[in-house]
Amino acid sequence: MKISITICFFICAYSLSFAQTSQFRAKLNRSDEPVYLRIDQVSADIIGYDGDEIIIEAVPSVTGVKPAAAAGLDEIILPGRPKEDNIIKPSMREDTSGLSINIPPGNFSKLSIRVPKSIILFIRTDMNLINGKITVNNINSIDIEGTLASVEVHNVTNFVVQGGGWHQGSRATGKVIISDVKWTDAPVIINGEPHHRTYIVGTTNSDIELSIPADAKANFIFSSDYGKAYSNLDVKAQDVSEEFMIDYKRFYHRALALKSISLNNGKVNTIINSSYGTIYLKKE
Amino acid sequence: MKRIVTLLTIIFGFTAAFGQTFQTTVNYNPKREQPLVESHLAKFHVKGKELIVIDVQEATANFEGYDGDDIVIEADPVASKPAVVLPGFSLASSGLLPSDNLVHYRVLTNEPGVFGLSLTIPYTTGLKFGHYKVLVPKNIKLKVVFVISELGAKMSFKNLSNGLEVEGTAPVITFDHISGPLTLSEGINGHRIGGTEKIIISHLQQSNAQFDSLEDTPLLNIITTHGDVDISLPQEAKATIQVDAGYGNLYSDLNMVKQRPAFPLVKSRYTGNVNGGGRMIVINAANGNVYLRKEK
Repeated sequence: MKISITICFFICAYSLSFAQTSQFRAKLNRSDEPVYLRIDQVSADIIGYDGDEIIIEAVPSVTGVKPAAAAGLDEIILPGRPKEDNIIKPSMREDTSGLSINIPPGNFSKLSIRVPKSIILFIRTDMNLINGKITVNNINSIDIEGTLASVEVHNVTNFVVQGGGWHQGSRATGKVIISDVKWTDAPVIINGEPHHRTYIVGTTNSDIELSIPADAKANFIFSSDYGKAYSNLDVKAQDVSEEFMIDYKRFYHRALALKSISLNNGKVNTIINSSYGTIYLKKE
Repeated sequence: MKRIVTLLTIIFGFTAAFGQTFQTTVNYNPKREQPLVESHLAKFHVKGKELIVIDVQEATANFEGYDGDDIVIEADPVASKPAVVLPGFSLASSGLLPSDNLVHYRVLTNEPGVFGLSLTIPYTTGLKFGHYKVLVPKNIKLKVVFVISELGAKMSFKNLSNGLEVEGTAPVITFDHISGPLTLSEGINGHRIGGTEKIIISHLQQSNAQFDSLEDTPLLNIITTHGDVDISLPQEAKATIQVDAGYGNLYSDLNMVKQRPAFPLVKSRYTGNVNGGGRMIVINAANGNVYLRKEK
């Protein structure tokens, strides 16, 4: 019995250690300190600003808005379902590898996240909501991995967006849209160390729309089991060179039906994977 | 302490009993070494067979019941969904072969007597998505396993009046003029993580259902991780409806009378009777919305 009480005490203490708040703030030690953000089952708007703090707030959905399919139907309240609120229970850990922030799912459908514009942000997520969406605007480097629905990334210097995969379940929703990228082959500086820069976007099912300036010098190395690539840019098919293969295999073991096209004779490498989605390379 | 342990054992045992889903009784034991057959038409005489198991991988299919004794499978490449091409865009690259009009299949078992037929239609790397029309005797017990990941792709089941068990994931899954019992377990390899967006059930033929020894079997038992579930019920249908929706909402225009929650209490579970209650309709939609509407 004593053991049971002790276990209960520790469970309660652990629960309480996730402090409840309506706004979470954290400050970076250095501008190149990476931030690892874990968010699940929630949409998020992430936007860079001129401040030096990360500010996270929950945004309850607007009540009374019905989906189109519910026209003429009444909502039946499910017993025990808590009303939406703006309470988050964040936890944070900082070590030599960077700052880790975890926001567990709560009674809210969206997070509003403001970050320093210079941030190097890694997001890990399991998004099982059909209409879930993560948007990223005006930051330095973004790396999103997990089970994703829709993703939009605009105005960044570096991006990695990888969703789906068999171990996470085949998804069939959403679209990945990326635009206004500062195309460069300069290394990404993390914790003072230079890291190889390769732009990557990969999905299982989702269509991909990647906007590129017409004068950018870029190579696109891509693989698709069932999708096709379309473009309104002056792209040219090229052989998959050994160099491309090496770059590709730094990130993927499987290189089925690997293709490559170049824009303005190429320079910066971008890897694109979509097993089932259609790939659009758009003129910016 | 003993009382607490005993009580916890009973609660866990009771809860576990609710986690069970209706399963057909014939073992599905695929033998992958069977040769792949390519044919313009696949036809199997299945009169007297107890269960048909068909596994379709990365191809859409329309299953339709009819009055014959054969299963007839035809490929229909025209029905494959074309990619949406934006104005001003042209094809930059593709590794795909065009779809053909052949049925690619392996017969895994085709025993004489009642054991049944099981066959698989595997995916072919590099080949464009296929589409199949599958005619099945409408009174046969059918199990269909599938995975299709193409955006907007649809699996459909129509005019089937015996037990139907469906396991897999496709963006849209529709059932029309079926009498149940229907078990739909949406997900992949039992992990219950699927990419289904919509499950639509209409023209439920409850009056023709063969209940016999299946009194305790739900008329519909739907499990989905992502998808919305949209069920139209005939005006005269008598049903007891149990909905679990962890993150989704429930919408309805049925005259449902809410029932007192049964023990053990489950969060976000609604139980209601339509026309005084009747066969169970069980819906577990973890992340999707549930729509229950009057048939029009």
